[in-house]
Amino acid sequence: MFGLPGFTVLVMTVIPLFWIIYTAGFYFMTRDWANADEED
Amino acid sequence: MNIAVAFLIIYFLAMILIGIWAMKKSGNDSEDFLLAGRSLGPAVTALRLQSSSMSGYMFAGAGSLGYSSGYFGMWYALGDLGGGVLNLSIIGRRMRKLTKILGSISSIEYLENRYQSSAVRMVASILALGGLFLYLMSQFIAGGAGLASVTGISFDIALVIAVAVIVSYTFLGGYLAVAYTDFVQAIIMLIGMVWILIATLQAVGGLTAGHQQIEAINPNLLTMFGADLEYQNQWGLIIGALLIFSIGYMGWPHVVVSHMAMKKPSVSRMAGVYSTAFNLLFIPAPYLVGLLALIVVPNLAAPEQAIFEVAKTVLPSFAVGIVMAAVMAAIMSTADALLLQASTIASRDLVGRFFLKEVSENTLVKVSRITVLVMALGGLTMALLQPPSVLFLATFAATVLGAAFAPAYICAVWWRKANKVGALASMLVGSSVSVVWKLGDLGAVTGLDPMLIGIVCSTVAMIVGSLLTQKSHPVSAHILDAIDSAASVTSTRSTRDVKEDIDLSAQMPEGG
Repeated sequence: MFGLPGFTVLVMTVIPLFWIIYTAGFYFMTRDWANADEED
Repeated sequence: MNIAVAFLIIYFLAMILIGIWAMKKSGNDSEDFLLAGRSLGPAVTALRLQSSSMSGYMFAGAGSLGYSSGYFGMWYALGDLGGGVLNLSIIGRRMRKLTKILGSISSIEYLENRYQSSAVRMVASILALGGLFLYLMSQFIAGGAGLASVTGISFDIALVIAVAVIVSYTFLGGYLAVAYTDFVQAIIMLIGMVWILIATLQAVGGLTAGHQQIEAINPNLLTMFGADLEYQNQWGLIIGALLIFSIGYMGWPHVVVSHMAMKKPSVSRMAGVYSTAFNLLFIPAPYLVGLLALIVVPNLAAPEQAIFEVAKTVLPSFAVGIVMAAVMAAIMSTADALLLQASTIASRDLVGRFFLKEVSENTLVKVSRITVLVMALGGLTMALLQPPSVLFLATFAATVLGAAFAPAYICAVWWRKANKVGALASMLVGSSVSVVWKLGDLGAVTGLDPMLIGIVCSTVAMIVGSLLTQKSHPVSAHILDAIDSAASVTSTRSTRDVKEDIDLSAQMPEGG
C-alpha cells in the first residue's frame, strides 16, 4: 500500500489507530467527570 | 523588504498585542499571572500543551531525521501522537484538582505540597531550572538562526530581536499571554506544515510515486529500521523513541503546568480530543516532508535545512513567509513557556520560598517579572556565545526533565504510598542515570535509549524508596484525603447536601 513495505504499513496503521481508539475511549469513558466540577 | 519579512513583522506585532491584551485582562495576583486565573478552556489547553512541547525540533530535527533515516523517524512521531492525550488522561484532571486543593500555583510548589517536603522543592527547583534554562537557550539560538536565515541580518541582531519579542509578551501578560500566543502559534504551525506537505506531495507526484522514487534511492528508507537497517532488532532504542515524546512529556514542568490552568478538571476530556486531532494532522508531516526532500532537494549538506529548502522550492514566495512564521511560532511557543516556567521556579520556588518568605503576592509577581528579564538576559548572553551543539542541549534537557519528573508527577496523583523519600530518590536517580547515559553515549553500547533507562530507574527508585520508608515517612491523612478527593468523579458536595438533608429531616417533629 502506497509503495511501502508491509511492516511499515502495519506499524503506521496500528499505532495511530491505537491512539484514536484510546482518545475515543478516554472521552466516552469519562462522561461523569463533569459531575465533580461543581465543587471546584 | 521582502514578503517573508513583512509576514514576520506582522506576526511579531500580533504576539506583542496579545501580550498587552493579556496584561489588561490579568489581575495582579500570582494565580492570575502564573496560571491565567485557572480560566482556560479545552482548545487553548490542548493547543498550548502541544505547541509548548513542540519546539523548533519539529521543523529542523524531524525533517533531518526523515531525510537521513527515512521511516525510522516515524517511531518518534508515533509516540508523539498520543503524548497529549496520555498526559491529559493520566494526570490532567487529578493534577488540576489536587493543585487546587493544596493551593499550589507552580508545578514545583505542587511537588512540595504533595510530598510534604521542602527538600523535594529545593531539589526539583534546581533540576528543573537547569534543564529548562538549557532548553530555553537552545530555543533562543534556534529563533535567532531562523530569523537570520529569513531576513539576511546578522545572527546576533536576529537573536536580540527574537528574544525581545518573546520576553515582551511573556513579561507583560504572564501565563495568559503565553497560553493565547501558544494557541495562535499552534494554528500557524499547523497551517504552515500542512501547506508544505501538500505542495511537496504535488511536487513528487503523490505519496505512492514519492515512495517509489525513494525506493530507487534507498529502499531501506521505507522500512522502520533506518537507512542501513541499523535499528533492526534494536528494540531498546525503538521503545525509547516511542517513549520520549509520549510518557516523557508528563515530566516536563513547563508542559504539565497546563493542567493547573484549566478552567475545570473535566476540561481535560475535550482537550484530549483536540490534542490527538492536532497531532494526527501535524506530527507525521515534518518527518514525511524530510523524507521526500531527498527527491526535491537531493544531496543537502545540512539535513536540518531540509524542510526550509523544500519550502523555498515548492512554495510560492508569499507562502514561504507564512512557513517561516510557522517555524518561528514553533520556537517561540516553546521558548515563552520555558521562560515563564524557569522564572517562576527561580522567583517563587527558590527566592520566594527559601530567601524572601515574608512578601506579598504583588511583590512575588514583580519578582517573577524581574526574573523573566534576568533569565532572558542570561540566556541571551550565553546564546550569543553559541554553545557547540544546540540540538544536543535540547534533547539532553528534554531527556533529563522527563526521566527526573515523570514518575514524581504520575505517582503524586495515582499512588497513595508515594512519599518524599521515594520522590527524592526518583528525581535524583532519574536525572543522574539519564545524564550519565547521555554524556557517556551508553545508548550506542547497550542498545538502550537514555530516556527509557532513565524513566525505568526513576520509577524503580520511587517504588523502592517509598515502600522502604512507609513507617518512618508515612503520607499524612490530609494528603491521602486530598488524593482521594482528586481521584473522585462524584460530587462530594452533592453527597454532603444529601446527608445534610437527611440530618435535617431527622430533626423535624413527627408528622411535620
